[in-house]
Amino acid sequence: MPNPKRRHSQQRSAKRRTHYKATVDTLSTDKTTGEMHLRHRAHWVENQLFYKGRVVMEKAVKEAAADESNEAE
Amino acid sequence: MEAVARLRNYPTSPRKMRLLVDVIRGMHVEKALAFLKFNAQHSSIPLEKLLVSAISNWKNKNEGVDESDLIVKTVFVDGARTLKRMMPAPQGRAYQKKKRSNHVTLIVDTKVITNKKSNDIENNDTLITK
Repeated sequence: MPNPKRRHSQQRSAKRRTHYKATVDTLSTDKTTGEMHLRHRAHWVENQLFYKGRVVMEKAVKEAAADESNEAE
Repeated sequence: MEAVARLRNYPTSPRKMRLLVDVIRGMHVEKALAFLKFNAQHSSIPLEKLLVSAISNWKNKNEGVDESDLIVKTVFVDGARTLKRMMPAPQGRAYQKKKRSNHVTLIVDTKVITNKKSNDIENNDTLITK
């Protein structure tokens, strides 16, 4: 079986790892909310889902559920 | 005036922590926060908290000062306590397994453009003349 001839130095590993870096995702700023977000991705601001500066979805309001429970009593 | 925040004994290896820390260094604070928020690596979570803490430390120190120019002035990762564990190895031996942890020190400050640039130019000149 082939084996490494020599132990390699710490410097050698460190040099190899100089190119090992975290990737930086491109972020853009929403024109209505001013929040930073990933490109082509929607983002939440105060229970509203924004995409391309428009509200796409809203979170269900919890008050409605509370009212129902009161009626049941 | 600069403000410091420290993260002590966070249980991940310094190498993994440095991956993100190297990106943040010198970055504008808002951009760094957004980068950490959307990063998939687990060490981005404590780093984000640390940066938020450093910013609020800075705000407490400098009340009423404009915060739009805040940057991550210095960040570095140091090795911390290492837990030693045993790893079974062939032929009745045991290898040591190191469970590393790290300290992170983060300093935020307002960007001083004029001083830094003049310093850089001076340094460059001296380098060239040498």
